[in-house]
Amino acid sequence: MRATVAFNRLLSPAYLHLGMAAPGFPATFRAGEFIMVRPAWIGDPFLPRAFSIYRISTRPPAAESSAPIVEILYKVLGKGTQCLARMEPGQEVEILGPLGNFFTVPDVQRHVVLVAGGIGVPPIAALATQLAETGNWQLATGNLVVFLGGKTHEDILCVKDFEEAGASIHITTEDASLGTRGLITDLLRPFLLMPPAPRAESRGEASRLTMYACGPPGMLAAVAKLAGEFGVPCQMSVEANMACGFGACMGCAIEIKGETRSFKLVCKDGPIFDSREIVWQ
Amino acid sequence: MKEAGGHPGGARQEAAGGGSPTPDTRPSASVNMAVEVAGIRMQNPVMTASGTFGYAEEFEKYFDLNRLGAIVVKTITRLPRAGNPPPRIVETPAGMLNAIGLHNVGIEVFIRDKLPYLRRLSPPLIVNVAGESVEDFRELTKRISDQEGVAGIELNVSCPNVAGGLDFSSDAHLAYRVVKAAREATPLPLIPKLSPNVTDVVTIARAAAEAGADAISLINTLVGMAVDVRTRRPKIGNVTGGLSGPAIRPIAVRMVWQVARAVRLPIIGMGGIVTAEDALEFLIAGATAVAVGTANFIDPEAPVKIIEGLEQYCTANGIQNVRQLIGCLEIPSGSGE
Repeated sequence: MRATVAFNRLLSPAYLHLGMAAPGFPATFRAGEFIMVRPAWIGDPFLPRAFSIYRISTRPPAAESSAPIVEILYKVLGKGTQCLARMEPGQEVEILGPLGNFFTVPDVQRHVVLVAGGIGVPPIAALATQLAETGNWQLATGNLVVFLGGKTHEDILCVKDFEEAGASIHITTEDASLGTRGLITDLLRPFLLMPPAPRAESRGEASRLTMYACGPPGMLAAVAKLAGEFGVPCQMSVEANMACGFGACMGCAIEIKGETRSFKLVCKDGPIFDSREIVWQ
Repeated sequence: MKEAGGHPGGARQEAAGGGSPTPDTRPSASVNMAVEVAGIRMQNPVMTASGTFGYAEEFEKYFDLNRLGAIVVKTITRLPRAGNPPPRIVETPAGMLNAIGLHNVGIEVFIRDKLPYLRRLSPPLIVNVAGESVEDFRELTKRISDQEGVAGIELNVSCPNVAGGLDFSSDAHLAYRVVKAAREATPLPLIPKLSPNVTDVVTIARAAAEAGADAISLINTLVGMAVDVRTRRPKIGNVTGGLSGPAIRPIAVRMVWQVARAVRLPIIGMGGIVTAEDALEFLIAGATAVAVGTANFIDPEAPVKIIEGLEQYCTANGIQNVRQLIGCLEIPSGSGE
């Protein structure tokens, strides 16, 4: 569907925040869902790119259009994102979505542990916001914990979203420019060894943690390993080269554990998978 | 989500006398868009290319599938196939490489779970099959032709991403044997899909024609390769992959033209068709119908836009019947030919 760039702002060097006014796009989404984005023309770059939805906002009633604004965060990494970075307000793009599955929230109250590495943060921030907004979730401080990691402080995004969601925030950077020096898992492991005390009314549920993660493959593999070690269920948003986004090209295969070698499609069966299901390379 | 109405050909519609046979929103055109390929009657010459349209249901929410000229589904093999390890696709200039590895549910699950849906759609259904041996092709052809609601069979003798896949159409004798075996197994129209990765595609096309093919699909993907210079690894898990997209269109048009002149069989032309103009190139070069492939990934509505664009072209150029375009290529005297 045709959409119009509403804004395309630099967040930190190499990271941008793109909002696209998309008439007809649903005004709500479930954290984890994604869209395919490409320029309004077909040419170079040839394929659309997949992005997790960060937020869907609406303009003030006085605005000339009431179309929902679909927001993504992206890092300029290659030809597709370079092309997006040059987009200016008013220019047209093509988007397809919302696509894929989404994070599921357990009905029993649990401690929620969010883990986001670098540009993996948008679906995790969306989940934090949605958890905070969900009436029956009743988050209290300590129940929502987030671990953010990056190479430098410039890779740490959306801190404000997590603060607003009432999360306790742990940050690691490899150069120690923000938070603790090291990798996310350096803080996650001790946390899992000694999770916080539960709220009074959920006493007896201390061991009930649920993790949600998105980030580079190396980080996801390490987090999946920890989740397995501590027996903590973990849902992960994974990435793959993708041409269509809706199950037609079968290009976005991910290997799944089983007796015979088998694959699922990241776009259709995912992008959210149970960490125990995936064969980590 | 699409703009309603406003079809540019609308001004000329009164001449048609309100004769649109189906009660959908499609503008009734004064152009006769129907073509026939190997006895398969199509309401327009635009079909989908195997491997780019899943089993059609993936596209139902994007447009009315009954507007298609014909539907060609993803290659079916005798047994289910898990496909190749990732990465399976990578973008390249004006195209993409893929090595999916014929990931599919296998013929029995196809018949049980996919065919009932496809049968309910009105466009003729062409089932694409691939075997690892001549016997496989015979069996698959037989099994498919026993089913209701199949208009034709496309023989994938040219998949570059599975062991032995290419062999059947890179050797005229093998191509002949495969088509012949399939011919003996079915009365349905048989359409071998040929590989461009050959020295002389005309030789293979002739062999297929002699063996009893009813039409020919041209072209499958070109074998290609891309290297990640950072990791110094191939960008595709299978090392090499099949190149598709606009990058290969001139090669496809050339091959369609060559085969159309040499073999008296209808040709389904494909290779990088994204717009109606691209489709026209194939028709003018000698294709009776065209298939939209990789464009389906980028714009799931591409086939409909191409159908509409073809109608507009005909209207604008005073062409009453789209068949007038087939093979109408004019080569000025004194050209290289």
